[in-house]
Amino acid sequence: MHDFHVGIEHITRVEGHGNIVIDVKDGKIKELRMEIVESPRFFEAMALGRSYREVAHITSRICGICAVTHTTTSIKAIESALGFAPSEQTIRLRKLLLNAEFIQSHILHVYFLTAPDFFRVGSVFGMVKDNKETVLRGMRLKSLANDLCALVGGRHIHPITLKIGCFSKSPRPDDLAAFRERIIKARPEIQETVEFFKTLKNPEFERETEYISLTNPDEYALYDGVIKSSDDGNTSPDDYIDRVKEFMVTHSTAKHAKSGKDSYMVGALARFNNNHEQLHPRAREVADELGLKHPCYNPYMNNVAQVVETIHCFEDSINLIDELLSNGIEEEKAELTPKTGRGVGATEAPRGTLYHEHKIDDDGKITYANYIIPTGQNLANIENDLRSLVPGILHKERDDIIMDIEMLVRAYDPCISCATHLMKVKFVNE
Amino acid sequence: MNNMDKTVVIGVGNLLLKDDGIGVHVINELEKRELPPDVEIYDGGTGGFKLTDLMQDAERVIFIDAVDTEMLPGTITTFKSEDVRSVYSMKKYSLHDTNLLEVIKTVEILDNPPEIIIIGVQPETIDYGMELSIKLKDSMPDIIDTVLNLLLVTKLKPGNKKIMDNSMETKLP
Repeated sequence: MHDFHVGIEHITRVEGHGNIVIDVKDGKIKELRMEIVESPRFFEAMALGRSYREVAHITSRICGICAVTHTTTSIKAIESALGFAPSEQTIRLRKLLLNAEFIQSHILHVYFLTAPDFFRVGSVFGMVKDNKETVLRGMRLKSLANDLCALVGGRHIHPITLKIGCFSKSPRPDDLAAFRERIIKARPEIQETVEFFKTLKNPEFERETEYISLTNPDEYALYDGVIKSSDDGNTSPDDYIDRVKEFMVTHSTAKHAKSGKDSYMVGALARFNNNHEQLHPRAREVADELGLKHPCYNPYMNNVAQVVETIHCFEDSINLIDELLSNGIEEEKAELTPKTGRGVGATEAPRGTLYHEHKIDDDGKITYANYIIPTGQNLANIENDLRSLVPGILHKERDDIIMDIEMLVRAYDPCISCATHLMKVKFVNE
Repeated sequence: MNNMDKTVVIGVGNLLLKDDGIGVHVINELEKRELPPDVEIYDGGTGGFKLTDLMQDAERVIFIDAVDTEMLPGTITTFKSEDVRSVYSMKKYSLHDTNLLEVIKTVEILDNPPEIIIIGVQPETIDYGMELSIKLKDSMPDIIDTVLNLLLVTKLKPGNKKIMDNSMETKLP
């Protein structure tokens, strides 16, 4: 196929609204772009003039899927600006809550949003007829993670116990111990998840890029660390602006980003490539079982890296609960005094590194806010992947080409917008 | 296994997008009321598929959400998922966080799914901001009444959708 034109409007099974336009003439790409049709975000402007105590609550509302990460990152930025260091207990509880969000988000993506591609069905509902038990297993594991979110975060959606300084309420030791047993009991289902994904074969495609994630000498970095580039070393989160170079493109209302190369990747595969040796041993075994080898330059394997991280987060949660129980859990209080300052929070969200920067005045009012979300950072890399992928698959049938393209975009788990959700309905009898 | 007595009321929407957050504002109001003991209320925010976890062991689920029915702002429409011919989000169709009916369809995979009712409120303004429009503020008592009536009334059959048009009512400040 020397000539090929495709305009995929509103890619399904991604969060938000994106189009893909690809125009190939005589085997050469004339035009390729991923259009983002969401309105620009004005959340940063909404934070200005607000109290430093309010801003985490506001940012938690940007996205219900990644509410824990947004809240945690916002809190870290404020604490950094005020020069406050939280207790070990608070950090462990934040890590536990973050694990719950990772498991929930990854399970949703791999079971509900990407698995239907492998069965050539349009949505997860197409899988129910022949694979109902698989879908129900995905729902059970997702519920398990969401219950952990409720136990630590105070409720299932938009956590309320996460505060600047410490948690407003700590989970009871008995409840944590009981939850530990639930994870242990779920291990067979977690292993069945691994077995299921062994049967799904991702397309073969490789393009090496720059991989950026947090890194931490003490652990597989999700909650905290310095910024690591696979190409040229580490950067302090305070200097994130030197690493993440945002730029505008005419076809997207979301900013694109580059670093050393003309694009880079964030997310599970970037974290695996940068920090795989620090994964829990069981997660490393699962990576081997699923054919994920370091370094991996196949972006489709981001799905597999998410399964591997799910195992890591389950096992890490058991360790965190053990540490919390052995140290004893106390109700904590933290006194913070507002003062002029600047703080940057950098946290790994399920989809990649999230940055919040805040400046505060002496009255505790926000005078500057900048939020950089993972998907914005991945957009340029998705386009570069597509430019590399498409010429090599033009011999395929048109529907198969489109499937390969859509699967590539979905592999990044893009969150183009969690903001707009208004339903428009037409009724049966109208 | 369903809890045969439990009704779950979930308000959904984005509090940062004015009238889009109507469902959450209603939950905040309901929190001030005394409700029957077998009723649980939740701020569902933009939880998307996380909402399924709140619904699985209920006998009945009532959603409150901003829904564009092309009627006048403040109009309340009570319906079931079967009543809907087509549904798409404001900027066309998308699964995941955006589409409440996809969340509902997912729960209906379960062997013994709950009865699900949606109270849709026609928004006036979907834009950045945390305040409701005056028209939706005025509709709040009627929305609360609609929820409370449903908590007392037994069943809403498909095809029996109810429309309460508040927009004709002029309220003086």
